[in-house]
Formats: sequence, structure tokens, C-alpha cells
Amino acid sequence: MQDEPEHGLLLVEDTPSLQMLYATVLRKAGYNPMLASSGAEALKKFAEHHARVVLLDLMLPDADGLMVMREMLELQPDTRIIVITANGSVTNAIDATREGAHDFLVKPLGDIRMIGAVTSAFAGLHEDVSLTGDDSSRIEALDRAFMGRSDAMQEVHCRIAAVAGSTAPVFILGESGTGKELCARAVHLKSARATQRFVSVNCSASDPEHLEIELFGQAGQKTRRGQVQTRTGAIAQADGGTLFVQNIQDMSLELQAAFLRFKQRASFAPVGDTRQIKVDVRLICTASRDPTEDMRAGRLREDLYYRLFVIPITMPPLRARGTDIHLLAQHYLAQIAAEEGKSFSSIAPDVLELFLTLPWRGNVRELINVLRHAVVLHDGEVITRDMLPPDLAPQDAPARTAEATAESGDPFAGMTMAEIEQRAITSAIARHRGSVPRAARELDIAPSTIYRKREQWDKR
Amino acid sequence: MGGPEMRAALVTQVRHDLDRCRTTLLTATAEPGKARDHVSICKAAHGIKGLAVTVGALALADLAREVEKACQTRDTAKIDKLLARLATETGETSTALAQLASAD
Repeated sequence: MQDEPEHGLLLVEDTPSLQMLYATVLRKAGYNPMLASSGAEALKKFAEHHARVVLLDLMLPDADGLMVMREMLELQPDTRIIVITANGSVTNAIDATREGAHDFLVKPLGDIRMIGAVTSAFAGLHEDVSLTGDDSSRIEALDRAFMGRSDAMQEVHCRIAAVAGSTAPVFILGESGTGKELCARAVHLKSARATQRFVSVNCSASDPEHLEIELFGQAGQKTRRGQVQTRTGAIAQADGGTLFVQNIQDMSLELQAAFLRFKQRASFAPVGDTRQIKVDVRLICTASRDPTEDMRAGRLREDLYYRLFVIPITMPPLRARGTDIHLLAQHYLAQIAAEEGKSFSSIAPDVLELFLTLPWRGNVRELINVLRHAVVLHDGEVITRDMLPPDLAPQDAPARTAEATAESGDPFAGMTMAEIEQRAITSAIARHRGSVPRAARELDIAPSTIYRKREQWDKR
Repeated sequence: MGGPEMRAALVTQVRHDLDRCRTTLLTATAEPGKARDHVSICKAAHGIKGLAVTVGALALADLAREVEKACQTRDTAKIDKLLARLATETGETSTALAQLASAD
């Protein structure tokens, strides 16, 4: 198979059968990795194709995997490297995360764990992960994932159809897990730009300097090894297509000023360059909290807000989507059962009733987690109530902490120290789109501490 | 994971990789008058370990892990004790995989 550098995934594994196995799993999931069997080959392909995510075996025939990782991070600091290690060598993997690895995997690699790690690593990078296939099959695949017959979703579909033909900026609002990115992709795929690129940038995932380079690119820079590296930014990549900017309110005020200039002039200069490059880009932005609040608090420039907040689309929370929950649950059950090799095919009526009463604070993402929990831990054909996680609480029976919070106004009221710690850590990881090293930096603790804590939580 | 052809190709490649590691072990062990090549033995044991856990041959993986550890600590007595067993069990696992594949 021909390498497709635009996918930005490099797999470095020297044992041919393991390389073949991992590549097969990745291709089945829609990725098309570049392959390397040695440290030298890995560095060559990395420098040539600017891989954004690297799956890297730590034991290579010609080099120490850690050295290879250091060189890659020196050439391209925001690369997300997932190290692969054999069982019994986890200490090496933890050392690697201290030095900047995004995540680590222990052999034998489970399909779902590997795909999860790669997907999480790509989240927030400005990669184009368009689905493969022709346009009609892409739209069909998207529609399946974006299903819903509720009034709230019908309104969203109507709004998408209405705005797709325009080039006006779209601003998508909604809680985490409601499908804001799917909505953005739907607007793109139904527009005249569908054959062009959809490029995504997450403003929460990078520090301001890296975000500036991610957006605007960087003129040729000489590395310590003497190579000249030029980075093409997300705006240039999206020329003719759509630029999807997530969590715009997390962009620094300085960068907001530069972004506003780009919006006004339809041109930009890469970092370290003075030449203006003209582009034709449609903007779709998201915010997970009310942008007017950020504007009032001085975190979002008013002039930028009014430039971007032209056509709003609000994604409804799952609890407001009525029996869409049943459609989604059946859809994801079939998908998860197939992935896990289980025979589950339906959901008991009392479980479907329960689903209608749950608050679903994590929205569709939480629904998927609940179903996966049931499928992985049990066998059978029907999902029954006793297979669900024990802490699922209906809306009319709020959790202990929610009651205590409401009574006292204190978000930590009623929580134990361990629960507060777990919430702080999981929130930090979520803010950094799954990156443990970045979450650890924010919390000022070692990544290994987070990994140890996670193991303890899993054992509970 | 893939169809029967993919599985067959994968098993063939795993067997090939196991046999290559086994040859490395035997070469590094059997040259009379020469110092034992611990680096090569360690790399071969590491390779066997990764392959063995992937195909579920956990006893072989444990044995390979012990040899790898012995190489790292230069525990020659332990290497002497385990090396021949590792080479034999690697060969047996490769044969067992071939039998499984032909019965598939």
C-alpha cells in the first residue's frame, strides 16, 4: 500500500509480523500509516512527511527508541508520540512520558486500546481525517453517526441544510459530547467545498506559541541538526475548504488579534515571515461554554466574536433528544458488539426506559461508555439493567454530590478528598484532550503519578 | 481481524519472525571458542517476548522475559540454564502455530 503522508501517522515497529498486525488494525479503523522498521528509517520518513502522530516501539535494532523520540520532538515539538513497550518494561514507557511521550501501549496491543490512543492523539491536531470513500458514502457515514428524529435534531438538520450553501462563518454551541465536530463536518460535506479539505484545530490542546504555529505555520527554521524545517499551518491547509476552530475562547488575546486580522483580510503571514498569503477559507468555530460570558469577562475579543458569531447552531444535549437516545443506543450497541466480538443485538425495554430518565451529563460520549461497559463485562444478546454501571442515576434521583452542591453552592461539598483529586485529574486530562503529560504539567505533578492513580481507580 | 488469507499470512510471518529469533539465539550460543554475544541474545529474547504475548503463548513469553533479564544482569549461570529451553520452546511454538493454521 502506498504511504499517505497526509494522514500523518507513522508506525515504527521492527518485527515484521507485529508491524503487519498493527498496520492491519489501523487500516481497518480508517488510518493509513507510513511504516518504518528501524530508527534510521523512522527519522527519515518523519523528516520527509512531518508525521503528527507516531506509534514507536522502544526497542529498535539500530537505535534506542527514546533517542529516536527525542530527535522527533526536537524536529517537531508538538508531535504526539505513543511509545510501544513489551510487558515488563513499563518503567521505560513511564520514562518516555516524562520526556514528552503522549501515551504508551503495552504489548500485546488490544485493537481498541491502540485505536483509542491514536484517535486521542490526533484529537486537537490540525489533521484532515476525512473519511475514505466517495462523497456520497462519506455523507452516508456521517448521517449514520449524526442520526436523530427528535424536534431538536430536526432543527439542527434544517439549519445545516440552510447554511451549507453559504460561506458565512458558523458558530456551533453545545455541551461537551453533543457532536459539535460532527455538525461541523456535516456543514462542510454538504457545502460546495466538500471535495476540499476540512482542517481541525483545537485551541485548548496547545499552548499559545504552538497554537500560533499550528494556525499560521512557520517559515523555514534551521534545526540543531542543520535541517531546514518549514511548517504549513492549518489556515494554509484549509485553503479552498473549511477551517474548524474548536474552543475559540481558549485562544490567547494576542492570538485572537492575529486571527481577527486574518479574518478581515483573508490573508496571513506565517510565523517568522512577513509575506502575506491570500486564502479562501470558510470558518466554523465552537465553544463549549457561553461565548458572551467570555466576552464580558474579557477573555474573548468583542470584535472577533461579532466577526465569527454570524450563524449560530446549538447542538442539543442528549437528555433533550427524547427517543433519539434509543436510536443512538441501538446504533452504538451494534458497533461496539462487533468491535468486541460479542453477540449483543438489543436492549431490554426497562433499560430503554431508564435511558430516557438519565441526565447524560457526558452526552453521547457517556452513552457509548455505558454501552461499552456492559458489552465488555458481560455476555448475552440483550443488554439488561444488571449489566449497567451501578452509579447510573436517573434525573429524579440526583447523585449525592449534586444534591450537596445544590444545597451549599460548593462544588466540592459532599465529596471525599479522593473524589476531589480524581475529579481534578480527570478534568485536567479532558481539558488537554486525553494528553496525560500536558495534564500533569498543568497540575504540576509527574505523569507517572497520574498513571499510578488511574491504575488505583481501575482496581476500585 | 481480516479474513482467512490475512490470518494465514500473519501466522506465516509470525512463524518466520520466531524462527529468525531462534536462529539468532542458536548462533549466539553455539560458536565454540567465542565469547557469548549477550546483546544479540537479549534482542532475540526481547523479540520472542513481544511475539509470544501477541499470540498468547504466555509461558514462552515468561521464559523469554527471564532470559532477557538474565542478559541485562549478565547472569551467565541463568542464561546457561534457560537458553536451550528458550530455543526449543520457540521452535515448538512455531510448529504449533503451523498446525493451528493448517487446521483453520
